[in-house]
Amino acid sequence: MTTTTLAAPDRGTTRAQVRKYSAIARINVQNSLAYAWDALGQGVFVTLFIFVFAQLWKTTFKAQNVPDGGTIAGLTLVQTLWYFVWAELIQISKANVAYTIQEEVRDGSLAYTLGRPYNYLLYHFFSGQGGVIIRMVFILAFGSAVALLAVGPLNTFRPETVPALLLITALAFVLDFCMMAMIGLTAFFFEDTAAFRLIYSKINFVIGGLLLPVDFLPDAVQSVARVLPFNLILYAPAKQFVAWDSTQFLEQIGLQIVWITILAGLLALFFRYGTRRVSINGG
Amino acid sequence: MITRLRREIGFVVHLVKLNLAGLMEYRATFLTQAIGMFINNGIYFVFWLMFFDRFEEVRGYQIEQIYLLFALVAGGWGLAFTFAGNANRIAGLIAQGRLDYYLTLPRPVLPHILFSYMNPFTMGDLSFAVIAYIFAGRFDVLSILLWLVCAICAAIICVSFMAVIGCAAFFMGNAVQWTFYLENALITFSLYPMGLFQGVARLLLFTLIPSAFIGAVPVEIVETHSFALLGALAGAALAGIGIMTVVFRIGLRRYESGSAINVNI
Repeated sequence: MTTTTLAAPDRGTTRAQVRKYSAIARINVQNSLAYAWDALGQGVFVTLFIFVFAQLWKTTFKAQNVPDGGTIAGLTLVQTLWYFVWAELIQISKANVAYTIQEEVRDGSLAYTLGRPYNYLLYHFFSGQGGVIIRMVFILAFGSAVALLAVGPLNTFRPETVPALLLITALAFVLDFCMMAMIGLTAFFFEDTAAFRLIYSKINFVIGGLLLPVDFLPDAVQSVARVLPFNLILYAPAKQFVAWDSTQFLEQIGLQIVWITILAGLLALFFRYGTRRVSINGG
Repeated sequence: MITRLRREIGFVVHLVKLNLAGLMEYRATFLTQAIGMFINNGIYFVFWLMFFDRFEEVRGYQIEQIYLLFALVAGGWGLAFTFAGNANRIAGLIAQGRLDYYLTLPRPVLPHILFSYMNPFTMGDLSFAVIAYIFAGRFDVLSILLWLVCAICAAIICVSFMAVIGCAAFFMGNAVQWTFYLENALITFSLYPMGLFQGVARLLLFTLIPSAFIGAVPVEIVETHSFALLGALAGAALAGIGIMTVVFRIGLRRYESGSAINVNI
């Protein structure tokens, strides 16, 4: 008599875990492909923002009598506009995991997923990142097209820094996930988390560097903004994209790792505390 | 005619009261959302404070004009979706077949839909508008009256625009995502000095995406006390109502009832 083993023989090993979560990400990439129109819409959306920024910063550089190739706070007009392309790329393509988690907490579906053989938070991380890749492609294509038309190519870009740029951008997504997941989990205590999501996004807009590169902020605000984690999500990758600086890169990566460690720890504690409030009823 | 109009206005007032009572049932959530939106606007405002701290002026706009711009845009937006909160949800209602509920009742369909929901976030916009106006510092009676009238006109334009683009769902099925993008376009362009945009972009902002009528034109009216411009703004608001009514009527002929069971609270 033979028996059939349904579970994978390496179940529980790191290799199996990697396989499991990459499968989750892969499924989400396929889902995103099915909704490519939405990603296209986001491409159009970024076109709008880059267009507005192009008008604003062209006017500002002109009003400040900055000569062609001249800089404000170390950035030329071309660098400033391309900076916004990369910052918008991260801002628009990141997964809105806070909303997803909030809905699962509110409608109780979290109770079902808790019993499944995966870590709830890791599941959401990989599931969310699957869609990010497709959105990034569209947003980069549209954003670059507008920037090219508005100010021309980014001559300071160094192709050999692409792996490092991808690393700092990937860590930015991890950091953002920790924040967003924490906001989503506040649904255990509040009916709706939209207010927290709005405030978080606006903090990213201002001291995170989405509307104004951190270098342009007043000195006092700059010194605070550089210590907080928000600038590591948008400003750090975008600045490295337009003005590579290996010393600053190492500092930023170090800070990203420190903040991810702190926030991931807090997130895990917060999740454990929150799930104690879940009551599962039959039916 | 006048009796009917009075009756319909009474109906809308009743809807608004019910919406408010509904929000008050969840007071903590309502307050969190309203305060959240207030802080959200405040943080966005800080961007302009820092911008003008460094660059002082953009095409004739200084920080005083930005105070006024926020007082008008937040006021218009706040009024629009506090009272006609369904205006930016029409696309979803059509796609889900949720117009059935309104079609079966003996009231004008479009106003009934528009005023059946109150957005709790926009209370934060309204309160922010008042604070921004105080910062703008124009305390003469005429300026205050013009601010209020302009905010009402801007609100009508916001509602009309959102309802018209929501009606795209009658023709293309699910238009929720595109409605979201156009809504963001409307608000984004209205919060920037109009002098930044020239040529075709400027023309678009006075026509297809009427951001100029929500931000720049009202700012100029309050600053210059121009009644000619106020007339133009009122004309744009009336045109908005007309276009919204026609588009909704044409679209409604294409509406297909849904089989889903919905609960309207």
